[in-house]
Amino acid sequence: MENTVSSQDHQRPPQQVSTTGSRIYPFEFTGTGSEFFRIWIVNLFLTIATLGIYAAWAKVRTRRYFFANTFLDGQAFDYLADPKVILRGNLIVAGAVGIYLLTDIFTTTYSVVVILLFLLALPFLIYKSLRFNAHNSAYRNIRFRFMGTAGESYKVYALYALLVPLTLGLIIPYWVFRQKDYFFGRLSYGSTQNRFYGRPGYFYAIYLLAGLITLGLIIGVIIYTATTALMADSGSSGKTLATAGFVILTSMLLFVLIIIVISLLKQFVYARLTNHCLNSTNLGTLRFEGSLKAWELMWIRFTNILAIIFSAGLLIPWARVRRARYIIEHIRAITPGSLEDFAAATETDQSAIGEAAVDFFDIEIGL
Amino acid sequence: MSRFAATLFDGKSSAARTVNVEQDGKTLRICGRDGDFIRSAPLGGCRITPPLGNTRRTIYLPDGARLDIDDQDAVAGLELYDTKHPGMKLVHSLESKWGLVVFSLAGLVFCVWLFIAYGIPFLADKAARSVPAAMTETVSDRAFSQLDKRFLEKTELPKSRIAEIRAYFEDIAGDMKGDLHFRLLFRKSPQIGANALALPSGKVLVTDDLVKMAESRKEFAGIFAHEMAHVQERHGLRMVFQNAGVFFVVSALFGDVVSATSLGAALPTMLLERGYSKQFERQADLAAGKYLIRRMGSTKLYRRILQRLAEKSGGNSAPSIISTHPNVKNRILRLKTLEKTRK
Repeated sequence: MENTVSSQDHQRPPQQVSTTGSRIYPFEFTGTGSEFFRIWIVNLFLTIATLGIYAAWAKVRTRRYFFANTFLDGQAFDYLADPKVILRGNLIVAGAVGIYLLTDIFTTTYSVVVILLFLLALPFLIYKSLRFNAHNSAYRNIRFRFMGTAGESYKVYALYALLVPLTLGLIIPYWVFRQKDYFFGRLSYGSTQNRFYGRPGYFYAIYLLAGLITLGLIIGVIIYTATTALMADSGSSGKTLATAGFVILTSMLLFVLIIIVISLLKQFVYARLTNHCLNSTNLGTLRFEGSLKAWELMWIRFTNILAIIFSAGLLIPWARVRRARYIIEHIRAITPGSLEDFAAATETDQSAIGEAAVDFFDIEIGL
Repeated sequence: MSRFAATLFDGKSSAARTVNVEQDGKTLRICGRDGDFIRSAPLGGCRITPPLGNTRRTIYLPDGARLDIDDQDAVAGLELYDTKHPGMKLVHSLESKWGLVVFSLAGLVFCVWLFIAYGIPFLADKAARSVPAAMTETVSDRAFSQLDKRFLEKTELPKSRIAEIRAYFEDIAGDMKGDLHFRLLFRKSPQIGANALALPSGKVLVTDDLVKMAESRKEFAGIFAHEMAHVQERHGLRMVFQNAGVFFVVSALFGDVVSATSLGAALPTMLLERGYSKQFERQADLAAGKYLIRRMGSTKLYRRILQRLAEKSGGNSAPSIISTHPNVKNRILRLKTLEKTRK
């Protein structure tokens, strides 16, 4: 009997103790590409074969797989959403999109109205999605909660969005900061709410750096196109076809290169901001530490894209597991106390309409 | 009667307690590590979460407390008493065996093929047929006015030439079945060059360049019949609905709409849409070919103007897989074979 009991503890990572006497708990990920591949293929098959109805179950299984393989202090996370609730949300979103497509085909004016209605509802949908996902995430049988309000969501996702063109985009870093604040600062584990100490200045520094690199890139492209246009002009007699072919080929390569660089820049911004947000978040006496390296994330993204292209998509699950493992295993929780003292709080069940809509458009919120 | 180790969470605090569980088919008896009794629960009121990969199994007790269990076999024994989630257990067995996973992959490929080859065209056809004529008119007018704004200019052909070709067009339209109202429009367009196109409402457009290229009036017969076939078969509307269908299938495969509009999904989407477009072109050519054989006994004049069109547009150098129209050589070949089999 003692044997089986101790096997229950085998995943408990070695606890480290920091210099201040706090305990350090690393996040761990135990999922594997081959296991997730099987879940993923069956999900796709059943989703297509059931004309999309199974998508709700597929989503819950995928989320559960990633949550249940994420360990902290030997205990796994869990995703508790009811697929039937998600199905209801999916059906509503599918209906709305169907209406939009029909109006778009036959009338221009009404499709504009549909888009406006959607934009008007979007902050509310994001708010509902955050509540839904927090409520259905649990650790040690204590659910998370999202304490933000719909009003705040309208401020963050509507008011600041409107200010973006008015400020010529200068407000974007601050806008992103407010989004992160809305997520990290309003998340609550049981009855304990997060505190978020992120600094807008840091967001500006990161976006400035990324912006400068992009600007350099644009200037490079302009110089390149100008010179090739001149080249094409001068080589007019006989050689035009060859020159045109050369220009098309190099422009295509340039296009691919730009896509890759932008994708890599996104990884840089993601790594730095995620680290900053984690390092600026406290949950009671618990604090977090992110140590994502921009270069390593870029490398993972780049090789993942190559793997997906050359496997005709079959390595998508492997790529997702690989990236999730890297991110999860570069997060640590540090506390002078213990993880055993958090108390639950009661909350009612949530509808999935916001979650379905936000997921449908792959809107990035949260981590 | 079986025993297994578990971690108990009461649902009120995050404290974990390592316990031993005994079950006799009716109740769960939960004891601490040193054997002290903690609580019991009726097995019938417990909920076992469906299996998923190799993740820990979870049992929820009636009051919301939870047991996490590493021992998959112990839970498998318990599941004999649990009749919930029969579907998910089936899904889990699909996911667990590589043979069944390969079967799922084959099923996925088959279903996608079925949708693309039959499902989407069938549904698009039904949808296109249910569009009222007034709406078809509006859509066509809208599309045409956009074309007009961007690519088209007023025709520079002499009035007599227009009248002559229009009369020939009416003549051919008279041969077509159905109560469709065909109209012929002339426009100059340096951008789209020598070309003809049809709108769902029955408007057929020819460019000045195309008219100038024709050596005789009769060469238009094939072109008009081809465009009229597009209208009769409702190819325009079907294309719109089919592209919407492709969009949905690609979204389902890639997981969401944004990925479906991303670069990775752009290529399969484009190839599928081009594939559909070529299918319609072949159908229109077939209809035109049959009509020509009936009316003038040969597709020769149609083939001749197709050939001339191809030569003028630079020999149609684009590989067949990425262009919307089938390769001209293939089109001409198909018309020839059609003619042979008809004679």
